[in-house]
Amino acid sequence: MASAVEVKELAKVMNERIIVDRISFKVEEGELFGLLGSNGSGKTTTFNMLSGLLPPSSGSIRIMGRDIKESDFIRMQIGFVTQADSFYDTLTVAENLRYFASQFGISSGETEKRMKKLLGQMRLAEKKDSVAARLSGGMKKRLNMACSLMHDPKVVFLDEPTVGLDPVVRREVWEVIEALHSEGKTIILTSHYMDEIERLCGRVAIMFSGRIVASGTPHELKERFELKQMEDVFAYLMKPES
Amino acid sequence: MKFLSALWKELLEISHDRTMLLVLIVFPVFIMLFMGSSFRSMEINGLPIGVVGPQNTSFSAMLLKGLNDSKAFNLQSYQSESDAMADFKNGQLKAIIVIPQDFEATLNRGNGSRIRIEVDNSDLALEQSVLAAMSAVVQASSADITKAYVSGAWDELGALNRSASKLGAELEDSRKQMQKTKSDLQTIKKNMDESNLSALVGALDGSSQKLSSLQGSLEVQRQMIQNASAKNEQLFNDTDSFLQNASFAVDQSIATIQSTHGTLVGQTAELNHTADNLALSINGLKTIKGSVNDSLVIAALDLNIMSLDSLRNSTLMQIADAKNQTAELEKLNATLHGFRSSLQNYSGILAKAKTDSDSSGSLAAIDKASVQLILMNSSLGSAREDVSRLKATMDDVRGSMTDIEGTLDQALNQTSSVDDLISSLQDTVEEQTAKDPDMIASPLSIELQDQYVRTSYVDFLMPQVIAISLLFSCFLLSSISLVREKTRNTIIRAMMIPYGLANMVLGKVLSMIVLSIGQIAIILVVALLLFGVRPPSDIWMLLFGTVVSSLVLSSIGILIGFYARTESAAIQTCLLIAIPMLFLGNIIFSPDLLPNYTQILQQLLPLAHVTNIFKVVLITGGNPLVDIVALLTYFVLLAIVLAYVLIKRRDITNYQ
Repeated sequence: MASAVEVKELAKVMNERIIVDRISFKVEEGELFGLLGSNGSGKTTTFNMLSGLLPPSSGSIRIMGRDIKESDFIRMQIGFVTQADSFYDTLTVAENLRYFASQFGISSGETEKRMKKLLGQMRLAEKKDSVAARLSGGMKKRLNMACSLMHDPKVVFLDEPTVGLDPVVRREVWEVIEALHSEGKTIILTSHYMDEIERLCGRVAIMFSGRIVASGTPHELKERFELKQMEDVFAYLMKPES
Repeated sequence: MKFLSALWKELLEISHDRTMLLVLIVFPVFIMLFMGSSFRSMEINGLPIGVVGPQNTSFSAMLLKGLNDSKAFNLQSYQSESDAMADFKNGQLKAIIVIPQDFEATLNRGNGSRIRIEVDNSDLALEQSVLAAMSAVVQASSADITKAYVSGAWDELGALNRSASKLGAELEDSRKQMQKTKSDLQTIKKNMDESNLSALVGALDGSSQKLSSLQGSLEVQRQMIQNASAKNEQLFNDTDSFLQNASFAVDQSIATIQSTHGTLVGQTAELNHTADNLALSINGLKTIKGSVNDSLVIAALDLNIMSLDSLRNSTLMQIADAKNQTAELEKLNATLHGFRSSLQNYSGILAKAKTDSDSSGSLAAIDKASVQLILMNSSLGSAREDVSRLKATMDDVRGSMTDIEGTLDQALNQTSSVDDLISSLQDTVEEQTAKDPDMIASPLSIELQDQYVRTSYVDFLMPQVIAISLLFSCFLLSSISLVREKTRNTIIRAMMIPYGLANMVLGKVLSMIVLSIGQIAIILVVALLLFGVRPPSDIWMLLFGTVVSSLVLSSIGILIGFYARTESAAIQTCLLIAIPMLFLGNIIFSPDLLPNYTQILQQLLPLAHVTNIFKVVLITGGNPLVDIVALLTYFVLLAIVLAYVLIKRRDITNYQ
């Protein structure tokens, strides 16, 4: 069976600087995969390439067995949850969801069905008719996720989904991610929070200077580097001499 | 139909954004109110103007009255130019009129005079307006002065014309007199011609000859009468003899007839008696026959009776013949009696004719006539001599009259020339004085025919107001809207959707079209209700023009939005593009007042075409096809550029 995401020798050169240096990895269908790395390690660039927002300089990406260049198919298969909110804050929650669903060509009946499910899942049902700008930070994060999921993608990219959130909201977001995972969606997320990685991801890849310096389950990595905490593993790998 | 949901989203966004909504509604209303109330009239009114120099002379008063009457200026008198200049520098005066000291004298001499105007040229439009208004007044005053001169000249020419008319009348009298003399001479000549004395002489000669001939004829007639008289005498005698003989013969015939008639009457009586006897005899025989039985006797009797009867019939026939003859004789007798009566009449007539045909009277008359003819012939000879003398005299008179006629013709020709001269002079004077002094003073005038109905000046501002409103709303809203897509990261989400960016752009353009239509509706309602402007004649063309205009302007705004990183950068870029368009977009300055190269530049700017479309739709009522085609060309080019941008900017790095 084909992998949900298959990356081979992926590289990106921008302004004569290598941002991503021939990375390769696979994410199986239904897997929750974490992409870790310090700022400037190339994980966001990799994410952008995976979601089709940035053309690679070389290498290949296959999503659900199809090349990333088949953009229309790929766009229907993936949901990209940006780090910053990306919805219309002047519209209500429902208007936002309906709009994005319509842009994916989803019928109004199906839209209402999916919206009901997602609003329940994201615990936004009561805020359905609230203007997005008036939502709390956690609600906005959940709305942002809901907007990315309205077309029911098979692969979901989450770019630092809990950055800047208080612990309560973070937990709320985690619960949503776990719920999505339990639905069988393939999830790839980036994060700086090792507790988040350890709780959510079955497998991780750690990037440094555009390269994957380590990959495996959190447990494997801790064992491999003989460290007790993932944070220590991460810190160890971020050292240039490592 | 994803672009429709994008359009709906845009409209929802604006409807939820109260500030944006307010701007969308308030901006056009404000522009309309501001422009409408500020530019109800573009005429200058009560502009403070200083006047220096003589102001009480007739010509200067005329000039100043004209300036005062124009109501454009508020004239303030100054004693010196320096005082006026001080106020001018302080901004209390906008211009100074300096009337030269010798203004009146120079004009009275018929020379022109120059009025100096110091004008505030720091304001170009004001300078032009002041100059235009003052030029109009000075021109009108110059015309008044010229009119005064021309009116005086016309009076003098009128007097000259009257003198010429009097001379013409006198000349006419002389001509009539001469023509009468000529006519009299012609009448005399005609009478003389009609007298035809030569013919008279000829006629007299002819008459003399005829008289001689007549005399001969009379002699012949005399002879003939004498001969006829002799023949008549002979004829009368023969006729008389014949009548007497005939009368005798007739008398004899009558006697014979009467005798024969008596004989026949006697014979008839005898025959009647015989017939009666025969009848008696027949009856006697028949009686006898009846009494006898003997057949032989009876037969003998029958034979006798038959014989007697036959005899009697023969007798009766003879009687009838005798009666006829008697009647014939009676007729002949009557005829002969009539003939004898006629002969007697003829005899009477002949006797009278004999008496009448007496020729002695005729001969005496012929002799008398012959004497008269001799006397007449003598008179004719005398008359012929008199006529010949008269003819010679008349020939002399005719020659003199021909000379007089020639002289009169020459005189008449001369009067005709003088007449033509007077007529020409009068025509010239009439032609000249018929000219209106006003027209001579200002021969050229302009008749302005307003081609387009204007209820107020705001009518003519509407295209500019709409163009400005569309320019700013389409530019600013579409560019800011796109910048917001970037700052809110929704553009990234759009990039994740199949055709998401294209639908987003399309939705924004369509929403700008809808909003532009709404804006124009607001502007029109405000203008109609508050300023009473004319409603647009062609709503559909107005809508079409709005659609095309907002297509182009919002496309430009979206292009700006693609490259601007922040809303303020978008606003600044919009202003950078909008301000030159405002100056060159037929908003502030008329394109016809701009230099050629600027006019070309203007044609390249879409706003000029936007303004033109609304000008055509709202004012001129023409066909804005050229401008619509120009804008559609713009849109096609912009669409190509936008498509290029969408393809080239698919990279997320362009939006982060």
